[in-house]
Amino acid sequence: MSGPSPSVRRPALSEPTGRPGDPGWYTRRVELAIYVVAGVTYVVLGVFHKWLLNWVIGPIWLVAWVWLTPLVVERVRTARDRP
Amino acid sequence: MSWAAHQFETYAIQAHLPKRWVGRVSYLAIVVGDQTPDFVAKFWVYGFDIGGTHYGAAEPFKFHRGWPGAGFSHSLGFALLLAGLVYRFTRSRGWTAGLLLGMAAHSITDINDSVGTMLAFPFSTENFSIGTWAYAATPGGKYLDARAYYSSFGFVMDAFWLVVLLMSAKVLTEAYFRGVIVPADPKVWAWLGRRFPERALLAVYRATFFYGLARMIAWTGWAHLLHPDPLRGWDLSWTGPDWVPAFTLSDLSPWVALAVAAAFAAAIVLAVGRILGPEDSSDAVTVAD
Repeated sequence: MSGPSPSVRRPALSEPTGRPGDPGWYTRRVELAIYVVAGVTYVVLGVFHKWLLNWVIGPIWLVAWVWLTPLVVERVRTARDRP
Repeated sequence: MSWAAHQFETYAIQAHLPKRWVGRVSYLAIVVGDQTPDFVAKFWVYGFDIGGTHYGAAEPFKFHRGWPGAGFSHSLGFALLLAGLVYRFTRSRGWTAGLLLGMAAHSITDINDSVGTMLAFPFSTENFSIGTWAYAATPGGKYLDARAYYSSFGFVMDAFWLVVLLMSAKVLTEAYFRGVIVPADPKVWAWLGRRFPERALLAVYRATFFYGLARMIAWTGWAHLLHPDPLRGWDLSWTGPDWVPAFTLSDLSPWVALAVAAAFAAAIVLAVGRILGPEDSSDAVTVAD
């Protein structure tokens, strides 16, 4: 077992993530944007609704954004492209 | 008590594991271990209201950290007991070691508040504290506690752990997740991987950092930008802020607390070393399943 090699090239933000299950348009920049949006929305809502700031909802909030956003976008695109 | 420090320290531990332990200690277990002491003790600290009646500890600091009470949850004895039970039922060295490291980190970090922790339980019910900031949990809820913590050296503690983590930011990368985190805990990640795409798994791994950073920003912003209180502002003095009573359960010297914490940490490191054994005896080195 070994850790990641230091010589591994850091992927460009414009590259698709290439992970199984990720759509082709899902680049690292898009993923970064989703993390930022998840963070900003959680902080803003959490400031006004403190009950959101707990260790159950916080992690679920991030995972839901990252997991579901591509699914929702794909579904919208499919519906839009349907003749 | 500490706030986001408990989230950040899990990654800091992961980043600073001895080379012979890397890829053999479950990160998820570190997180579970770090949450466990407060999971056991915290529900009754702030309490809750039903029909206008408040249910909870009359003196939260005694319940949270004292004896009788739930103070045993922040101790060597409880950490060893729980880790022993987990090993008994799972036979997972990686989870047993991770739980011990997480619970030890939580218990040691919390000696910084004025109440401290019963590190030596069951050998002693003495609390050990270095009193860096005031323990301010009251039956009135977490608002006063949050304002006090994020106006004192508590904020500095969170920031310190954040900096330690960011100096080892490689632990948050996808390559590190694939190369170290998953192989250390292949069964759990494989189980999750059959239900969720890898981007969601990566988010699960990063979620503790996300939550820690978000709560630090949200509570600090609330206390000092949205609802500043001129009588309850910043106070970076020892055992501050001075506008809140600093509860305490012991008058032992902070030097004694530091010595006991060092002994506690050494005992945990020795125990983890024994649990993991020599490098080639690891039970979690391949991404099987």
